[in-house]
Amino acid sequence: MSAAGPPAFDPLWKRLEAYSIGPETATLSFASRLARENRWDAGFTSRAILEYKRFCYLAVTSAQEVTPSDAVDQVWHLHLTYSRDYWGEFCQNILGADLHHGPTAGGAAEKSRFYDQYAATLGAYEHVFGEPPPPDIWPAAGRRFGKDPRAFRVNPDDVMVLERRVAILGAVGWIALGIAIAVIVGVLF
Amino acid sequence: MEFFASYTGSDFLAFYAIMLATSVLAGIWIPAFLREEGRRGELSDVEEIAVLAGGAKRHVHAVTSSLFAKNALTEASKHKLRVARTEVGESESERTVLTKVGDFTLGELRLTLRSRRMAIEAALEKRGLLMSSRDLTALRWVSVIPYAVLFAIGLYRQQAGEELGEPTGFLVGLLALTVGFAIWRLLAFNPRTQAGNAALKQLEDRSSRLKRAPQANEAGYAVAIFGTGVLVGTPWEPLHAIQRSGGDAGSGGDGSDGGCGSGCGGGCGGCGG
Repeated sequence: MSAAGPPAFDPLWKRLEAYSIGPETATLSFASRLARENRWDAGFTSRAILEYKRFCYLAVTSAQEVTPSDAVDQVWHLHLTYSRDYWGEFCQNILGADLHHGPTAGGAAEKSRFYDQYAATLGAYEHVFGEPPPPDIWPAAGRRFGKDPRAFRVNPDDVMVLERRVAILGAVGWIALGIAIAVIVGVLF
Repeated sequence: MEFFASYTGSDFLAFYAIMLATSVLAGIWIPAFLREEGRRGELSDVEEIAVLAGGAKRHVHAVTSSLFAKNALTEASKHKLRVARTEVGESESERTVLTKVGDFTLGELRLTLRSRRMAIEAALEKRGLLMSSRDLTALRWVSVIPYAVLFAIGLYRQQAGEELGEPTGFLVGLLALTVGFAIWRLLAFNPRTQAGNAALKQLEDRSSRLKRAPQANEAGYAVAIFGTGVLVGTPWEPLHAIQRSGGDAGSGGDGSDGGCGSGCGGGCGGCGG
């Protein structure tokens, strides 16, 4: 796809790029809260915020509705909770338009609609910014609509969180160790 | 051969296992280095890309994906397909598929599109992107030579061991594994020239977005490059299920109506949400 080039000189993009979300004097900044709530590192968080801004740019300039990735959606969700900043400053003075958030109503038709929007959003992104969206923040549809929606809140005081890969490797390791011990005991005794 | 006969059973098994691993590496190394160079070229036609990337199977998958995304094909009973709209065929292959009457499998479509695919293969061969069938056959057999030599040595030792009354079960197992690897090497063979590999790699690198979420008009192109895996999570996923089952089994419908979870629409530019 041919690229229209990055919107470097577009006043809207300049405003978005310069914008810092949330009160700058807060001890717990927007980025820190976002990182904490999603267990992201600082680098990923800062890239996710940049992608959110790019998403907002597309939302305002695109003729069609746009759909974010899950990571970008998390930034959007948190920004919405800073309601004074979001509606009073960001939409009014930066975007110059109200950007509403519309969760899915569920059902096959909605699934298809949101998929079409997501695919079109990735296409528009590539066209406008002259590069494909980063795959770790804008994943494949199978991940976006199959796995990401299963995420839910947990409190680490109540549960133990273990990466699936680590859990499986750990279980296999313990079983192998058990078998090895049984064999050694069998041979010795 | 007395040298091998002098090995104890366990010594020979260890030697054979090492040589089998070496043969596997040689089976990968030989076609990688002896592959014909070919001629550099760009590809833009969906069907040519599909044939280059995955042969007959990929060709059928790309054509059907394109038609499925245009709602010209629908899922019929028992993982068969059926024509739903006949006026949207853009290429010769698409128009040919849309003349089909009744329900049909992907295997049947492969036969229907055979002559078209062979014409594309001939064109790709002429352009230096696919190897000629003679060179391909030669390279295939050369790649299998290490397995054949190893099998002959192993069989000799197994016979000798049996004559001496030694247990040869493990060696027979390794011989069977050798045959399995050799058959896999013969069948799963990349027919592209080096230039063909480079052209495909270039397309893959340029199309990372399509791999993630192709739009309806890009579905055929995305499947041509990456295969039907790109349809997972898309509205055309049932086609992926049919293709995985070869059109004969498996389940199709995406069923779940709550699967989209928290997809969000950002309405803007005056359109609201």
